Amino acid sequence: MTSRRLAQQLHKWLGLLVGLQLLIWTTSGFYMVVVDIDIIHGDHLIAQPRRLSAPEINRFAAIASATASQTSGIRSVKLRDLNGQGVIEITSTQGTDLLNAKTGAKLAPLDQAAIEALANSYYAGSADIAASRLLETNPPHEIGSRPLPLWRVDFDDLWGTTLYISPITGELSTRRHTLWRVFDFLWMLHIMDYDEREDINNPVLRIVSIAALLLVLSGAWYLYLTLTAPRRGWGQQR
Amino acid sequence: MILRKLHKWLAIIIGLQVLIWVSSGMIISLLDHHIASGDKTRKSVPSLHPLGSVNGLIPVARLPIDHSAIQAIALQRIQQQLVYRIDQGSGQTLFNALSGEPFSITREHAESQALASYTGAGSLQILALLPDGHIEAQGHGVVWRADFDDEIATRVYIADSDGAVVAHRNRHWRIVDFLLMLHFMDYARTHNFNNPQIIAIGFAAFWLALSGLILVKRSFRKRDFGWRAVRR
Repeated sequence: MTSRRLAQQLHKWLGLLVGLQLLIWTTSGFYMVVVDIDIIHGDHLIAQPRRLSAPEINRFAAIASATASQTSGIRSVKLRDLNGQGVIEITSTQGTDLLNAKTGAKLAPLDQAAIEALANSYYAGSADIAASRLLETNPPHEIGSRPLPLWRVDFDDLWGTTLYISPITGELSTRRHTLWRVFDFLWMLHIMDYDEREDINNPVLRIVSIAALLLVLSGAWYLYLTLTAPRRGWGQQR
Repeated sequence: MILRKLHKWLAIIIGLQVLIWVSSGMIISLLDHHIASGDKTRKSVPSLHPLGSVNGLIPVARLPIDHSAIQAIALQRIQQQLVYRIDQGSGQTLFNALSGEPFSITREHAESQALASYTGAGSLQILALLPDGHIEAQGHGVVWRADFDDEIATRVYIADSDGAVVAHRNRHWRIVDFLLMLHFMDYARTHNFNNPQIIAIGFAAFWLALSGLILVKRSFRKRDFGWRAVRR
């Protein structure tokens, strides 16, 4: 067997073994570089948060002093917006409490109606809510390591928007939509971790990428031998 | 014939980048991610400390910032001082809540945060302040860098604004960071892979792979596998 034929056979057999994965790598990679990462993150789905008003800002020092002297173990007193009203979020060793910033009264626990109103305030689009439910067990893959409980609020829009909202603080934990889910699926195909979609050190990827390197090198070798032997055309077999 | 020509010419034009993609991806996969990510030397440091007694707070309205842009204000205690953490959407700014002066941590606090988060076997050698925009700061503003003399040359990064542990990086991380730069064709080091050069060459690579796969299918005839292959 001539070395040119050996290079060709190597390239052909490695192509049979891992050629499909090279097509998957280039396709998934192309999607990931073409679609803007800010769109994948869903930045366009979220409205600008409300700015605090001057009276709210002016009262903060007094509220913070009073709160800190009333209760011990407080680690943070925070003033922020919650669906158009100022709230005080108190973080202590016992957990997190929300107070109405105007009255100082403790906020009622966020029920489904309050969560849906909040979701609408976070959402930049105009579609209606399709469904909402409280997740307490079995975290979906798409929220990653974020702790439950979380409300899942689905919108009836073309993006397939889902907002995840904390039932305790009312904060937007994360947002997902179809382009993100496609990205995540293609990422799984790209790193060949079909379970957790995060282990880039898995043996399948390692073995296939070594084979792919041999495929590329054999192709380069074959190309070199072909280009330096100009009498015969590319791939013409005897 | 046209497929062979396409495959050959695409290989000539973008072959080098395909070689870079496959080899950088392979090396990243072969290197242990847990070492490169810094997880092996890092433990979490509590970020919030008890407020304790709160007296003599300066009104937030007196802070030298654009008040119309404030989205949230928090009162916290960092390195024994009460601070206002102001969120203006574009980032957070901290002020001493008693004096109203812009807050930043001391060298001693940066050192204690670095040591508290570090679980490796090395000891702290150099503690340096990197200015805003420094290539290693990666958008975290002014950061402190603590160099440890362990076998993977760990560097711990601490935010000067609030003492938060920004990252643990090491020799493996620097190799992976370099390989990712090549993999993403991010020569300007913007840490963004939506760049025109990768889109153009990625498009060509798709056709290189597709034409190659079709050629594989064509070049294998039934006789390569069937009983004839054995008899030949």
